[in-house]
Amino acid sequence: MAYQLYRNTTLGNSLQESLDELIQTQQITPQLALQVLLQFDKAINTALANRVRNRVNFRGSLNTYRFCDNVWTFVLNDVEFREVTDLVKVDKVKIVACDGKNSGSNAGE
Amino acid sequence: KNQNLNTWHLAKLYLSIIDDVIESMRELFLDEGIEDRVLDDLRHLWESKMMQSRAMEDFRKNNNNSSNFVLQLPASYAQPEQEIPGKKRVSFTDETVATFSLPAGLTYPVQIPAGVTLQTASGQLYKVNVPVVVTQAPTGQQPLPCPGPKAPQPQPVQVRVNTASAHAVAPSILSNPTTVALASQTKTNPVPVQEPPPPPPPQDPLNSGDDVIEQDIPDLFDTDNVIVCQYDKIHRSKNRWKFHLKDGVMTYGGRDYVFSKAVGEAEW
Repeated sequence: MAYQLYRNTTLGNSLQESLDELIQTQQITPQLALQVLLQFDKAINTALANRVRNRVNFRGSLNTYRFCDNVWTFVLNDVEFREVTDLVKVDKVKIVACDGKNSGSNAGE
Repeated sequence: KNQNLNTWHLAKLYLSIIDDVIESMRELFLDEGIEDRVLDDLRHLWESKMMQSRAMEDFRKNNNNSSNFVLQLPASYAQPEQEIPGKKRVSFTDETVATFSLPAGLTYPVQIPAGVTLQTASGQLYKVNVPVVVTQAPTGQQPLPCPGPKAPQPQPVQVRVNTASAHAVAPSILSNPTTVALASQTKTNPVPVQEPPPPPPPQDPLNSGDDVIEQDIPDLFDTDNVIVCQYDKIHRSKNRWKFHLKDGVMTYGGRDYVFSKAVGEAEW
């Protein structure tokens, strides 16, 4: 089973909203909506692994860290993200990271 | 420039994921006895929300499919040159046209109230002193006849829109522009466009009447900057941390970024 953590993204949230609307109007059942989400998990995991090919560097200060159920959560401040010549500065960012070694076999948020 | 390229790639990636998911659900929907239309509705809803989200703002701006409408000043509108304080002079001639982009995803007709200033991509400001209604017309439809050199009519003037290139006629008078501009041109002002709820047209397979009109710009103060990703390795030495991350999606200020690898350092 692919990681469910990508459901909390623009793409994932908009899918969930759309599914909710169809459930409200009783065009689909919640069970079917769940199937769609599971398919979404597979699709986005595959897409990120195969169709994205860029590398980013970043530097900042670590505010908090947490490791629980094999999931790391970090909050960083004053972060600079650098990709080739592009620079993005962020005052605060939260990172939620699942174990990449076991990707594909765990489900996590 | 680079941001546009990034957004383009991102849009392609997102649309490919949407396509993947929708198409792989067809058989299951069929097995469940659900009409194809419902799956198409899901796609439509999903794509619309994505295209209207701030993440796709740059994509929308540069997407040729966004609706343009052209305000063509009437030929008989022979006014002396108008001057806006602080702006360059604009003179009205037969060729004076102004192209405005409306954000994609709007449902027509769109009503633009009087007193709104419209801004073209080149920065030209036009203040529209009459209410303008933008409707969609089949391609190739002739522009409306010019209302003549009279004073502007009190009623809204129909401005017809073709999706790709539109020609329309509406009187517009330059005066002191206010700072309001249309949604996709500015990040700081509220959208002045008011959309009267249209009655759903009969036999609309996409149920456009069910569409939610995005009248408000998505939250401009998104501070929920989150990266969801996977870690290859997390390393710490005293208070120096090193992160080796992969397959990440980041939302920052409403904009989206993706990476296949991210390497970072931070001090705690």
